[in-house]
Amino acid sequence: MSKTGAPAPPAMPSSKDDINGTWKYLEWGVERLMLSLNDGVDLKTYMSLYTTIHNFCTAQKAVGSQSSSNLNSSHRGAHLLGEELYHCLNEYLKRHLQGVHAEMVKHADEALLTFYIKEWKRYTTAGQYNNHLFKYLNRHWVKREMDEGKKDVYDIYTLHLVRWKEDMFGSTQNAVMDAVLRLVEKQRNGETIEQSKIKDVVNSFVSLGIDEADSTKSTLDVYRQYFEKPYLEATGKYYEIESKQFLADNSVVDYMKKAERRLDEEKERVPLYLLTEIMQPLMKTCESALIAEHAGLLRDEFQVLLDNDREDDMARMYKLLARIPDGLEPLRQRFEAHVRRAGLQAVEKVAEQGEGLDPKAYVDALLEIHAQYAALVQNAFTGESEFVRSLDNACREYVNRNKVCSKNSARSPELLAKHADNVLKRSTKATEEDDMEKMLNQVMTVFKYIEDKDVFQKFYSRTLAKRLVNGTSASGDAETSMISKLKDASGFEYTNKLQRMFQDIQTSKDLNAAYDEWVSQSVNKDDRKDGVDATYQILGTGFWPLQPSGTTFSPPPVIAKTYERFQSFYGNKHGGRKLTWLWHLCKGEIRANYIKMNKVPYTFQVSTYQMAILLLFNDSDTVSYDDMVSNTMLQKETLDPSIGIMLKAKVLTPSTTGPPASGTSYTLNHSFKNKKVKVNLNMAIKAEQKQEAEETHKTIEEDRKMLMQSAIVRIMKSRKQMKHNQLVSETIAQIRTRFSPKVADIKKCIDILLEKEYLERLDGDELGYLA
Amino acid sequence: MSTEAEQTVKLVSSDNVEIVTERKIAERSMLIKNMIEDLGAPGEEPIPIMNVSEAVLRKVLEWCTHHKNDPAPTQDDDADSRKKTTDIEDWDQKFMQVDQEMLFEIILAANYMDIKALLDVGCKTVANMIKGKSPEEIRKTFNIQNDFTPEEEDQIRRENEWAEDR
Amino acid sequence: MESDLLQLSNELLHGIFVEIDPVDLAALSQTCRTLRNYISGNTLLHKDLYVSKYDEPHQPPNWEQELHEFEKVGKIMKSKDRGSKPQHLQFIVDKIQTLLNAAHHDINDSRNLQLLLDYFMNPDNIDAFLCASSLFGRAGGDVRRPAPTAELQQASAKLHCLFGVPIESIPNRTAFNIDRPLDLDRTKPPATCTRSHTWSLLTHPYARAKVYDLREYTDGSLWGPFKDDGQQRVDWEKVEAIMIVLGFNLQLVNRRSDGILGNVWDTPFVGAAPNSFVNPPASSDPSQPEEEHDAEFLQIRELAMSLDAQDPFGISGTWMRVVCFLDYNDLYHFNFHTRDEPGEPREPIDTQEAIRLIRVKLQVTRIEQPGAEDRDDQDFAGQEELDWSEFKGERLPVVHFTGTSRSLHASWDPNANSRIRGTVRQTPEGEVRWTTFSIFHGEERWRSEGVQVGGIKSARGVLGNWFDKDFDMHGPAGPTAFWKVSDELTDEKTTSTPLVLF
Repeated sequence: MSKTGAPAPPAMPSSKDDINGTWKYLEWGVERLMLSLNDGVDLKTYMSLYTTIHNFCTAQKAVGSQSSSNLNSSHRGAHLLGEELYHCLNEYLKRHLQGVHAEMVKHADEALLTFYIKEWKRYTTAGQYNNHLFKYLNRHWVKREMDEGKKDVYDIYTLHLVRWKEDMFGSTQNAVMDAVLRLVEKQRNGETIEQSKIKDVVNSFVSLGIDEADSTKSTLDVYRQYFEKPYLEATGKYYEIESKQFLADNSVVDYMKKAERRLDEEKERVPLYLLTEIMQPLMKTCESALIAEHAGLLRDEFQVLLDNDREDDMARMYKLLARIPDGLEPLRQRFEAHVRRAGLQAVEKVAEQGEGLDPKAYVDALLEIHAQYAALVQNAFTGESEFVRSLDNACREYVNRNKVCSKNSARSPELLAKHADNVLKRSTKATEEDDMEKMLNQVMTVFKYIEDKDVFQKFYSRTLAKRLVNGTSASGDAETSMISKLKDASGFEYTNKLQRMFQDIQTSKDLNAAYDEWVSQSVNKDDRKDGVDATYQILGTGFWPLQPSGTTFSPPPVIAKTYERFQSFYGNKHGGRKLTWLWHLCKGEIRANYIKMNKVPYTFQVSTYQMAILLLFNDSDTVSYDDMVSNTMLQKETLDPSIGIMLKAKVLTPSTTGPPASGTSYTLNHSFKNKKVKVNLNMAIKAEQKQEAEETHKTIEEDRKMLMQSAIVRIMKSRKQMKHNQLVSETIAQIRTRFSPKVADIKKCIDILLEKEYLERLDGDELGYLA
Repeated sequence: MSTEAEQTVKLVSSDNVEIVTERKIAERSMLIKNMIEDLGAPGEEPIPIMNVSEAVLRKVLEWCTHHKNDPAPTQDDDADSRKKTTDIEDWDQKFMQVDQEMLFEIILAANYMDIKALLDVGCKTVANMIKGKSPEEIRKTFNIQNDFTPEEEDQIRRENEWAEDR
Repeated sequence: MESDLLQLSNELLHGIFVEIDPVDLAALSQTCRTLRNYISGNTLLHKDLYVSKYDEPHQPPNWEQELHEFEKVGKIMKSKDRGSKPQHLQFIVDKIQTLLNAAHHDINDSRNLQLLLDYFMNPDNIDAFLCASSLFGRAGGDVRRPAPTAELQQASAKLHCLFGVPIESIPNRTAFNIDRPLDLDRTKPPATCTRSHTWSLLTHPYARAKVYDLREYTDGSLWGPFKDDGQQRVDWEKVEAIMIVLGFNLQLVNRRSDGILGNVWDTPFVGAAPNSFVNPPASSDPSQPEEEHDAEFLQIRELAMSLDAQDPFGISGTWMRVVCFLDYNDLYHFNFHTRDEPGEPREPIDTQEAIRLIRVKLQVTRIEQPGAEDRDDQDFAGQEELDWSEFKGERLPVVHFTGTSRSLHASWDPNANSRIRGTVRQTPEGEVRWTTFSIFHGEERWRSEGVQVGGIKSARGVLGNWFDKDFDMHGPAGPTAFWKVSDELTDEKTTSTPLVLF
């Protein structure tokens, strides 16, 4: 491209339709635009060039000389001028680009890139000018050709692009792209590069995407094929090599840091000089080379990180593996197994306590592991729901199947219920409200994982009943809070009875007040002295886990008078309701006036049974065992331990040693001494406690059968007819929230229902419902 | 430096008369608009409008002045020429009440200066002069010589039978 | 002095001439050689003028010639000379067919349909072109006369069928109740058309006499709306009679049901072109659970999904069907009580017939290559080889379908629900022929033969005859029609409400 000084302008063509003269002038103009635009184009030249083209195209008058002479001569009424100019320009551009191409091949690498960009800019700027100067051609001749469907005619600017694509791009794009890729590699290696060059190449490649179906539209095809594709390939290759080398010399943790940094860098690079369209495939390429390639290695490191609580590194690993398809599932599996192991180990440690396992120690062990890994999920795994699920799976496993419940799967809910009882029971040191709430939430955390929720419910309702009956709850608010938590977790039905128990206690308070009022109004003062002061709790049968005592009992007359008065009051109020007295749960206080050594007489806290026994001593200081039997009517199993406690406390002195038995007589110990004024003689009996627990387990089995049967009937009632297997699986689905039923148990229940003729066998293994 | 809206340009007609007008008015012409885009605002340098005489150029600028606030013409709004209406607005109609020579001069100038809307108005005006006329009336209107031989006239009539009243 | 006009370059002349009316081209051409040579053969000019006035056809025509022809149609239609119109009947029928083939399916976007609508605002055009079949020899009164040849009578009947709105359907209205879509905003409502001759006979009793005339049900005509020569050429006069009878009954239904049926056959020419059926936009929630179908139906559907893609006739989907029938006693009395001379039409009959509206769901089951043997047609005596020498275009395959029919009337009707099977194929004339069989409890009972008015995938649908599948010459038989309402097979809630009309 030698510039030998601008040639002098030829004259504007004298004749409008003289193609040679016209083109000669235009070629001079176009050449100026192409080669020395920087020197400027003056107004006059610009307008002259435009006018020359306009004049040439409009030179043909409808009144031509040629065709009007003969009516039937071949004519083209619609003929427009301009084709010659178009072809001249096309040929000129071809020649021009040949020259540029010849120059370009002399360059290599970055110099070539620089040359390409410089030439591209020069050429396309000139193209814009030409597009305006040839506007008249565009408006008419080109438009007409395109309307008529000619695919190889373009508007003048597009013609420039088409020529570049054909005459320059095809043979140089490889070299250009190589230079671009080397530049990018330099930048990746930490060198500073001229980014704008790459951006210019991108723009150039994008401009060359001319839609073949409609040249007025553009596509990204050229860019995709000649830029994006090699770019991605080079990127992939670069990181494949780099990551392999790095891993050979460095730890996995360091590699993760490096990969993280590389991914960020690539992302930041896009807005600097690439099209945003490349982001997705580029990230995919990088992720494949940097992460997927080494996913196995990363995952192997995960166990090490878990074992050493390397939270930050685990978070890093999570973020990396989350970027590749199916990258995290293996992590979750490892995580789940790890948590389960940790939980089992923790339980094993406390299990060494054996039978007398402290419920709190057990629950704390369960909670500790949960808390630790819940925090990990939150901090390292962004609280991702899939990891939460893995954590839940692991916790459910170790909560329900561990060493403590290896013999009896109901141990976990039982211990949890006991722990809850301890929390909610009034204890010596007052618990702060916040602490209480926290402990209850912890109970709920474990509760969530308990599979046999019905077992928990059983034990919980028993302990709740005791707390309510004995008034040993630490706080009413805490009790209601716990019940509403259970309700939230397991539904209204689950806590229905618990709530009723609460209501009963409340109603009983009102009832006692009403009764006191009634007594003061309707009973005269003398009669009142017949009885003792008493409060009553009316508990609805069926809501409370309480049974009448197994023993017979004849209350002492003073008690009988008292409760008969209440009964008549209650009978008036609620006619038809039958009251059953649960004597084994009743208690009272009795003052020991016979002991004169203290200024203040001792008060014994006793069960009703003990009260009945002690009251016998009002008549005589010594009472025989047989008199006790005949007066109280208590059976031996209840009577003996009741006496036993009083013997142990040295309230009574036996005539002979050995267990209480017929023939022994008991004398009041007048020299009884105790540090406290109030002496509690009403202590639960160990044997009773154990028996109670066993009974609870037994009733659970019964309840479960009922639950399964009612579920089966409910299902069959709506479906009428069903296959055996289907029924089993639907039943499981329905009661899973209460406990995990065994298939064999469900089958047994189905058999029972067949026997009871709720169901019938139909053809095949179909079952039918009998209404 | 004045803002674009206040800038003026100096046009020179083919008979060498300088006319100063607002840049905004002049840019109704795509030719001038593109030129300024390419070369920058010309300032005092006159723009030669080589194919248009003073009288016609003034007339054209009168139209441009009236329409200076119309939506700017786009590079290719002639792409959908099928959506045109045959109506001409009142002002344009009055504007076009000129002798035939001037009418055709305006059309040529609008075509040269690339003022699509003015060209359309011009073409419609001529079209209205043709509509509903007999061949003879058309000849008279546009000063056309009948150059058919009698035999040819016969042939032509047969060719156009489809349009005959019946 | 040279003419300024002739001084202009070609692109400027083009710019001016695309603004004139096409007829002005004729005047311009006759002024001088220059303009004549410029205009004649100027494809682009004629195309630009064509598309400014008419819908652009799918295949580029000879723009110049067709523009001239369409302008000629306009001249004829706008002519005030009543007497001169009938001579152009064949030309008008041919060109309207061309206009319809290119028409956009939406009347609001279609210049062709709006033009045709305008043309037939003029009662003279209705008389001259739509009322010239042999039917009007008796029903035409003094103003409507049948065309001189059987061929022209057929042409007029066909045009009447494409027009699609029975000329008069309801006795107590004027003969020009062509309902327009409201958004068209025509300044001149049809009722204001003046007419010098106000009285004409009702057509439907004559049409009914043709439709229920059991002598028309012959083996040669496949017992359907075909000519009696075994070549499956459509007898448009039969189709016309079917349309008039069904249209009359449909309008009665519509009036009784407050238009619950929607607009059927109420806008001239709409839907009378190939591919004019367009699936209505789905108004229902797609996630809505589908109606329960039995296993066989579902199996058929799955098969059909792949077949639908290959079915050129657009069969699968939901269709509305209408069937009319005379009480059997009436039918028997009408046919066998009096002895009419062979070839003499029967007396007009005004007896009220029954109508059934049926929702039909069809699915393609099998596609065979063009011209596949038709086993159902072997039932016809003396079946001849079809002559395909005149056939134009691409031979389309033979498509079989099955489906279900659900009556919109009360379910006490034992014929309310049935299965249906059938075949769609081309005739040598290129018309689309539909054969159906109605199956009750596994037994085929009724058969129908029909032709799709407007051609392949038209919105107008199929008109034809139904009859005993064993060709009982004592009937029963009658007219039937069906048209597509949706490509979907699911019901929309609003339309599934049963109609209780009778």
